[in-house]
Amino acid sequence: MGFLECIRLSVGNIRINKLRSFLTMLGIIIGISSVITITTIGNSLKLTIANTMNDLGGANRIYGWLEAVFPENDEDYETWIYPELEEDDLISQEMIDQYKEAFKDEISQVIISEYVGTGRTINGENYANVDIMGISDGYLQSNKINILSGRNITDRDCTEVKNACVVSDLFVKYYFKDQDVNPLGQEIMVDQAEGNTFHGVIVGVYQYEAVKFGNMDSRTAEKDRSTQMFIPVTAAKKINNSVGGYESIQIVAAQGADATQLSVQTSEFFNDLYSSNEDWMFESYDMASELGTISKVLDVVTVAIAVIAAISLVVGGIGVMNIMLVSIIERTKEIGIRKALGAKNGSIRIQFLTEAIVICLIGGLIGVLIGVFNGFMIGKLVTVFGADFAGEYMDVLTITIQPSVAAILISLFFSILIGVIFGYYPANRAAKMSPIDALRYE
Amino acid sequence: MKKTAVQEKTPPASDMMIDMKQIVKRYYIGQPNELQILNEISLQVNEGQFVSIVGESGSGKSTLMNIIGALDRPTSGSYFLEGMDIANMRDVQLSNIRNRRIGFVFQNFYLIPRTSALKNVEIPMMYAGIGRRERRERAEALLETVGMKDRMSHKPNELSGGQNQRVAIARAMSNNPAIILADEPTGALDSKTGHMVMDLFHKLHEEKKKTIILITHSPELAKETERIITLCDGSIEHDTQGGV
Repeated sequence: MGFLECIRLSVGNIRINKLRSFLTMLGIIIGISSVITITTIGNSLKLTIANTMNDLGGANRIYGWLEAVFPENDEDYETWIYPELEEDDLISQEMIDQYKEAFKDEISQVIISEYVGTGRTINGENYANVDIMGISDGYLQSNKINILSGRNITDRDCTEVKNACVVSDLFVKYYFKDQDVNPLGQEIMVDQAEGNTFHGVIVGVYQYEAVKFGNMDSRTAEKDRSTQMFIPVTAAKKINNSVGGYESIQIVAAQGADATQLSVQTSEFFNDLYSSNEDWMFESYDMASELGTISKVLDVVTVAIAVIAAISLVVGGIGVMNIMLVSIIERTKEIGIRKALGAKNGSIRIQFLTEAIVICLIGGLIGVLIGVFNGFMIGKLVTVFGADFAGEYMDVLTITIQPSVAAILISLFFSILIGVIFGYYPANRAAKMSPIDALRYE
Repeated sequence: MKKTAVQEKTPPASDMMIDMKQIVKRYYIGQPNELQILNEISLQVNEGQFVSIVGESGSGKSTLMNIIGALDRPTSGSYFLEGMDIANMRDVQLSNIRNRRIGFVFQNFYLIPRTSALKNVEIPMMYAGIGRRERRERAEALLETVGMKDRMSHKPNELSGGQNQRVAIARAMSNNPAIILADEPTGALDSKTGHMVMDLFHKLHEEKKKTIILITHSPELAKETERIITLCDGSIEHDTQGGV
């Protein structure tokens, strides 16, 4: 009796007892569908977080900043005052140059920025609010900010302290409202909240995406919203009247470099330079290890829940075994007839074993379908209900549902395995029946 | 599981189909309730004979049939079927013998329920490893011989007793066996359909020259056969030739 023959026979028998077969499968269906639902959601969350992180800057980015040195023991802590950040505490351009030199193979760029403040620029009836940020070359690329027209802030802008500025498309929309002008090359004047005034020439327009700028107050009317205006970092320092260094830096790791390791080395490097500073030290943080931590947590949660679901699979398997044993008693006469007609013990064994496997596999397939469906439904629900409060920041909440192929294959493999494990004993019992006793069984 | 072609009937050295010598069958051996069912039965059946075995219940008919049909092994004694030593065969070999050399017809038909007549007739061929198409063709031809071709897709519960028995006879013939072993084949049928079934056996005997062993407790049916063997308390009481 061939393999296909066995499958045909099994499918035939399963179809004869449709309801019973379905109830038998139910345990397997519930087990597999829970495993697939959980792994699909876990997998999708991981993917979504990785995508979002990547959108927000990428895994090869390291942030470094100055942090106050906290007292080591509690008594000192009570009298401790957060230190004032002095000019000479800052990270100087020399330090950065030294650092660049020391790690020239591992880093592709060191990006510096200096925040200036908010301001408003008025054009007759029109106005636009801005948030002025001094940046160096590479900041826009590294933050995945998309230049729509014009150019970036370049190294030359920085060294020559140019009054170039890059504004958002939202800025253009409201500042040049009802005016058909090319924004590039236009001179603008920003009145800053602190009383300073900045004269700039628009050299580029970038695409405004709310998500990337942390502007979560979606209730502000679009025209009143502050969008970032980028100017050369040196120009920003001039406005701020600061001559020293920077409070923070961003490092873009070179292609193929280990960002996590580089982050540690960067901390060590700068803390060497700050060893004599009693009040301040250098801290660093990298996306890659952050991503790794989140992934690990998700993995642990996924595995833990999958293990619980796997227990229900075993329970399902026991159900299959129970029904197979009942079915064999019920079909004792059939077994006797088959034996009288020349079925070998092996043929009977393989027939019942195949039946158990086919039941489990069909259950597994149904379970996979339900699990994937559940995953998509949960993704949809998050999107629908999330939209209510997330507004236009939905990008962050849109979960890309991607069922884990590995989980599906492993689940189907386990369905078969459960069929084999829990089907073997009943099948063997059927195979070992004496033909006469089986035939005379009433 | 191996797909070997059906063994064509090998011509026996003599025309002796069944050769049994001093067959003993005991149950519960070594226990206080030890039971001896067959007492040193010796029996020879020639090829092409139509033999009936009669006897009262408990005379050992069924046990003898089980041994002839290779469903059971004798406790002692020798049994050769077409020159093959059945008494000393392993289970797998016995399965093959049952599959290819013996066709069973039972009192209660023993068709597999919820399975069409056609599929029932195909079962022995399936275990013999015959391909699907050939199986179907042969099953249809066999059902035609027993006059059941027009109902081949019916299931046993949709057929009458006589019709079921005819399907069972077609099934018994499916691997072209050396002998047909019929255990009270008309026992569950009324006399009219019983006669129809008996006619079918006679036809098989005359046209296909089959060796047929009919087990019955009805003297009338036995009289239709060529040789009547009467069993009593596990021994052969009479062995009369020429009923017909």
